[in-house]
Amino acid sequence: MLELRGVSKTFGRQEALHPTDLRIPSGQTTVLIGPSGCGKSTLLRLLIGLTAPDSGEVLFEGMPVTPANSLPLRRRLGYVIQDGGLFPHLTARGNVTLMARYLGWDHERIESHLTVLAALTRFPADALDRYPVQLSGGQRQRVGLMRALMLEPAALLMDEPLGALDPLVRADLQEDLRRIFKTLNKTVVLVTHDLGEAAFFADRIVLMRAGRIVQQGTLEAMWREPADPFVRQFIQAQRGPELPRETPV
Amino acid sequence: MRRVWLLLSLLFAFPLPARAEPPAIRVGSKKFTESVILGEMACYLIRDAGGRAVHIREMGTTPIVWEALVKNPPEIDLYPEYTGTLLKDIVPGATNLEAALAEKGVRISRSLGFSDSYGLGMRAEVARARGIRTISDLRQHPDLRYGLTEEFKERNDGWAPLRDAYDLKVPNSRVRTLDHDLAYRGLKNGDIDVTDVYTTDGEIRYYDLVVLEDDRRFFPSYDAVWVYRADLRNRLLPPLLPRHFEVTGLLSAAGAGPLPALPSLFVKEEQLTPPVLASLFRLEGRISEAEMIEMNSRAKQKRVRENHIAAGFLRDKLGLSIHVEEESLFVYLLRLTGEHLLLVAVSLGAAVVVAVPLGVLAAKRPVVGQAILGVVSILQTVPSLALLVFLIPLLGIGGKPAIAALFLYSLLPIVRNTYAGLHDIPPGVRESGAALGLPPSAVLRLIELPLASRSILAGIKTAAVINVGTATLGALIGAGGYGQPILTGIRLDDLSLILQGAVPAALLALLVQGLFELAERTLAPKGLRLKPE
Ligand SMILES: Nc1ncnc2c1ncn2[C@@H]1O[C@H](COP(=O)(O)OP(=O)(O)O)[C@@H](O)[C@H]1O
Ligand SMILES: [Mg+2]
Repeated sequence: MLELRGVSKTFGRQEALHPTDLRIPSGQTTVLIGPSGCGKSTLLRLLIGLTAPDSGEVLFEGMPVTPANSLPLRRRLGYVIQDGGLFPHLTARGNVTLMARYLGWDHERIESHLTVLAALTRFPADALDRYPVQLSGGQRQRVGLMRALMLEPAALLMDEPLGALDPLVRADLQEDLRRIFKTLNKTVVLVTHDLGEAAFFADRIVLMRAGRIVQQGTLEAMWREPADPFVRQFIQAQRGPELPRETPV
Repeated sequence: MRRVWLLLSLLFAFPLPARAEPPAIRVGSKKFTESVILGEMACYLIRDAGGRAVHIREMGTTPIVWEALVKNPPEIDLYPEYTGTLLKDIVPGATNLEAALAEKGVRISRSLGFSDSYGLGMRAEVARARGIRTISDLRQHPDLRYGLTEEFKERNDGWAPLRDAYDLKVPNSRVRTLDHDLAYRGLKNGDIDVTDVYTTDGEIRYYDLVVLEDDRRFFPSYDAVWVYRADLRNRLLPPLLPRHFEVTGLLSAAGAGPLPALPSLFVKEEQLTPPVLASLFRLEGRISEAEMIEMNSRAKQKRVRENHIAAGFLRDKLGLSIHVEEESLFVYLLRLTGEHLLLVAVSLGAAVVVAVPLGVLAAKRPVVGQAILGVVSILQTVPSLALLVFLIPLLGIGGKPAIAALFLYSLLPIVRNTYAGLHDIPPGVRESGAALGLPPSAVLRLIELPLASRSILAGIKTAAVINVGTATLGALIGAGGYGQPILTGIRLDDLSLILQGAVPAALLALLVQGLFELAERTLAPKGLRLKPE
């Protein structure tokens, strides 16, 4: 569905992405993971055409993405960022429906979509007329998700969508997200730096380091056959909660 | 294209039928009391002959008023002037003043009777104590402090040539530049010792000053006259007469004189003087120096309004019956408020239309942006008075240059706040708009401008408040508004007049501030005004 062919990106002297090939398969959830600054967000922005590659090309359904066709293309992709990127001057409803209104959808169509999405994301209907500052962190992410899904995109790209949430809300939303992905059977690319979260969502994990893809596949394969010492180190560095040991009386 | 020109020239060749009311004759005056009184007299004389007249008061110094008279199209048709000033400053070195002025399209009347010379004045007791009687005596007193008006310092018959003519060794450090009216007060308080005076100033008696004798005859004689545009005569005549006038002129130029056999066909030149001009000429030779001093003194020391003084004199001297229309304080303030608001509203409106797009451009194109911000910042540092004076040659006097100056001053706060408002939008918000597939123009309109609206409004508020204050300076170049009573108040040393302008200006600034704060609270998007719950 989405494909990078020899795509690279450099900011000044900082090589954000080394020339890279990557295929994003349809109907699956691909998770990009890696340490902070390794180029995950850059890769995602290249996929949606917010950033133009220095070399190589990005393909969407086999068609090269160019500046000329990137606008209609973006309308076929949903994009959610860490803090939601909500427009603070618009209500939840205004945020979700902005693009549909811009495209001139009729009122009924917009409202029916909104109702379906609110139910799907379990967003309270009475909160639709609140402004972003009046919403909780979890609610804001749900609005961001609804906004991304409003035009029924072919794929959903999410950049650390749960990064800023506290653990309980986060667990709640993880469940909902996975259910939504399965319900819609969408192509999803999700960025995280949390291995647990990656394992929870991923059909396939892409592990990156310093602008390069180091290994891709399942978590199990990475655990069993790490491509290099970094992969092992990265996987082992992730730890669960350490409970205090009970001392014998 | 050619057809358009043809059409245009036709339009000008066949002027629209004249309205019932004749066009008003615009009388100018300089920024001192005597000139204003004479200007008022001119208006009364014109009206007495059935003409319409408007007085553009206190326009400024000689160059400004002269320029307003001779430029095309003119801003005034006539004003009171002095022969000495014309000879020294306008047509220097002319042997025949009338001929030299005629070349510039200007005519002059005969003397109005008095002459008002420049001179150097000192407090009588100081002069007596030091034994100073003549300008030459000043050479013996190098410690004297001079306070001179800007105009006197600049003029060809002013300070520099006077100093050379008398061989005065006065270092520039001992010469201050002051407003004429403030100079008198400086003299009284002992801050300065010598100033330039007009010999008919009422202050000379009031402050007990002596005018030092011009023992080297430096100053020419300054007879008061009317100067008026040569085309005024033709404009005032009924449409058919000028042709006869030319024929007569031609014949007399050829030495033939009007043909006695056909008296009815030709009209003598003096008969051609339009009644309005004839009425003005009635004042020739009628004002004595003592009378002028008395009038100046009543205006300045007794606070009688110039129009009352002018009307009273014309009643006594020429038997005119004049009804002086009194404007109540309320109507007066209302008029000033209207003038002031017009200056502020037009300049601010234009600034918003120009500055917001400039601010957007500055935010979107960093290189151009720095240039734009730089230019509007520099504009802001130009002193307002300098900017006003600079704009006069381009736009004339009155409202236009004032509005242009206020417009330029309003740019910076609006451009800067628009730029800052857009610049401070979190990148995630901007990017989300683009990621939805909105084109850049829609991102700007639907997302960025609403988010920057508070900052933009705050910029407009700043501009408006500055504007209300700065607009008071507009009166210096004849734009009216609250600056007018302030200016007149300074000239007449009348605190209550100053307050009539200063208090409303301050109140208006507060009101504007309040209104904009209300607007910020109601117009800015609700989502930006709410506090997190
Ligand atoms: N717009 C930009 N300008 C300059 N450098 C950038 C820009 N975007 C990203 N980078 C740099 O590129 C590298 C990769 O960034 P990013 O893709 O955001 O990493 P990640 O999302 O994995 O944390 C980082 O070193 C970052 O500083
Ligand atoms: Mg990132």
